[in-house]
Amino acid sequence: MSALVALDPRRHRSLRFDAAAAGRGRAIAQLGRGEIALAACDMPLCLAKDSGTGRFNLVALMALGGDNLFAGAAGFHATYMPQAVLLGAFRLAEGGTGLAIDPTDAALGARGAALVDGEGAAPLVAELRGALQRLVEDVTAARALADALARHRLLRAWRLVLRRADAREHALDGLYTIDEAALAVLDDDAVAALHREGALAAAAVIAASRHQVERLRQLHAAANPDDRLTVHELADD
Amino acid sequence: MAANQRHDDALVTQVVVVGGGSAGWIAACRLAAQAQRTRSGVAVTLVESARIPTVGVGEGTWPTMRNTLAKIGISETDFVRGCDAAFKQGARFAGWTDDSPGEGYYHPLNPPAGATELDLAPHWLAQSDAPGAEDFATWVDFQATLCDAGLAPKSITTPEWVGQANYAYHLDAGKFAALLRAHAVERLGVRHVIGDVARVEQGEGGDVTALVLADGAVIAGDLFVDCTGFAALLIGGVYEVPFRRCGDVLFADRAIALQVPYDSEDAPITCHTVSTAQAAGWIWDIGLWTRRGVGHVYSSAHVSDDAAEAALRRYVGPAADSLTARRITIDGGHRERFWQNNVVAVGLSAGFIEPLEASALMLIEASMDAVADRLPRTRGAMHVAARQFNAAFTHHWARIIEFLKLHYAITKRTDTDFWRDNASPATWPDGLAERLELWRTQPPAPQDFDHAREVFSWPSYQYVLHGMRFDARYARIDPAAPESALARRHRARAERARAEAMQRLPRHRDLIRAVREHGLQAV
Repeated sequence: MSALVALDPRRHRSLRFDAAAAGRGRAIAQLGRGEIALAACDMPLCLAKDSGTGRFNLVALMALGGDNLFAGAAGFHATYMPQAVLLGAFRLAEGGTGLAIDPTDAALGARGAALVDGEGAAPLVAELRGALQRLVEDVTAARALADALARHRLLRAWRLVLRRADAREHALDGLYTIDEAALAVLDDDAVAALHREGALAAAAVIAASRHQVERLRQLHAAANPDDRLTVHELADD
Repeated sequence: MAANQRHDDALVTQVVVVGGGSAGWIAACRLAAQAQRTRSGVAVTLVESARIPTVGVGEGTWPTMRNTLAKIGISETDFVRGCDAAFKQGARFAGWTDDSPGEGYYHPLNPPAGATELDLAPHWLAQSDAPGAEDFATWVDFQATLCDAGLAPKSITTPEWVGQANYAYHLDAGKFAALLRAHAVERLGVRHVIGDVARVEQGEGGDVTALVLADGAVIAGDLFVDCTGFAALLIGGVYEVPFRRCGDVLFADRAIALQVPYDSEDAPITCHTVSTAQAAGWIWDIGLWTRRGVGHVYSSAHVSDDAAEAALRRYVGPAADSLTARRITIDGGHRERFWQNNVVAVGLSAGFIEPLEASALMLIEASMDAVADRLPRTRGAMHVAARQFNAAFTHHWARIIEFLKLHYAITKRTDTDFWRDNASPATWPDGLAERLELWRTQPPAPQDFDHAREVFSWPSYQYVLHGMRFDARYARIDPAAPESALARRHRARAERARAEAMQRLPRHRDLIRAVREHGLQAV
């Protein structure tokens, strides 16, 4: 999101939204709590810190140090597209159409559904605003989940190192995952409290989704036959 | 079984901490946290007088405090919020070498680059006469640059207790004791008794067996930790362990303190202690979240109290006009023994010294590391523990006095009797005089010290010696020698760390605000 501007029906009369083109260039996507089970079908889920607050956000990993491995010229090839990917070209705004856009986003261009209808916003704009509002709420819920997991010290650094055929290495820093060892020794009261919040089930799905890194590796190998890489997880300190 | 054997076999299960200042609550927390961690069954009671105010020693810590708080189980976020704490990356000593405008040097908390592999001092010295050469602290490490720029040692995404640069804290001592008290009582199960000690009961061999409080309550124990401050109720009052003064070496015997508000809510918070030399002492200046703590430490033999207060107020400026100064007497020195029978003195009851290197809280922590982590299981084991403790802390006190004297001894100032007297070798401890002679031709190294774990190790000596332009002439190292290549590699690494830190680290106040608002993560 580099150049947000308010959606202006006069200025953006010809602009269209192509949902299938969304996600190009995005390596990670923030997730809402309600998306955990869906996104885990395709992607490794993990946590990353917000640079301004240090708090954890739930994210889906969609690349291994390069382009988004699900977003190709023919569309987004996954069983589920995270809402933050789908809506990545848009933000809620005050006044006017109530929507801001990033005109440089790959999902906006000459193809797809119209954003402007005559002199005003097309009905799609209201749908997008509604989806953005639901996403904000869902992301807030995901942050609360992450806060609870962090408060119980159930997170650990997840250090991935990508090793190429020529032995060059590239580390993916700043990712965190479920500390299953800590989860195994959690005291009974905390287990009960987290279970009632639904946090334990979520934690289990997030932990299991780590293995989708292999799916990313396979997608990378298919897309880059000359750039084979292996993925290694460094032991936590 | 002989009475002596029964006495020696008695298990240590009840520990009584006497006194409720920083020392008392650190002691209680360390003991209780250790008991909780090991499920040793040791019970901890803290007896605190309602009438005797705490002295509030030390608003500066060492990096060791991070480890202490982690062991106690207080999060860094709770600590920063609860104590109005700020981060500290070392100290800048202004006007200590000479009194020319702008003169000063840093003693950062980072060791010199590559300290575990090589000594950069000879390499720095070899180029130090070149035009535009950097000072020692800047040449061997990047932390002085962070301090100059007002940047923090970590960012909000850095886990708690971890830093891109080494760090300690500045804190509000009163709030620190309150935070520890709440944690000790509510989380660690410390029994808190408020009452004045009216009588001390002693048993076999002179051991303290119980405290009798003014209301008649009897507090029995197997080990007593004397944290009663200057009163030294047990180590001095009961055992009359002599006090070894050091006023012949360190002349400061008074301090005057002011709490100075910031000019604005967004005023920068200095991320290091500023110690500015004066005619007969020095002024400390530390930044907390809410205010600055500023004070003048001085020798009453060299300046009057009123003149010292006037100097302090001049330093602070108009902001001092409405502030009330607090005067403190410094009776510098320490006990000849710190552990006697079943009483161990921790904090001011053990000793006190001017806060030039913020050693007060560190000594409390080090004492409790020795006591809590190696708590004697039986009364008999206490004989050995006491002997080890006394030997270690007699050594530590001597070395602290020596290191503090170093700051004065190698001054080039001759403007007042205070500085001339300090520079007189007649006032130097023998060990310091001997080592200074050695260090004229070779840099301080680990081999120069008796203990593997010195409180001030060789990098600290190097920062002060070279910061004060000590006249050293080391053997020349060939630039083509393998060690010169290694030195260049470490220097290059330090330069990269400097560039990255300068780009990524936040303003000090911005970090504290973020910690207060959002907290630091554990990982």
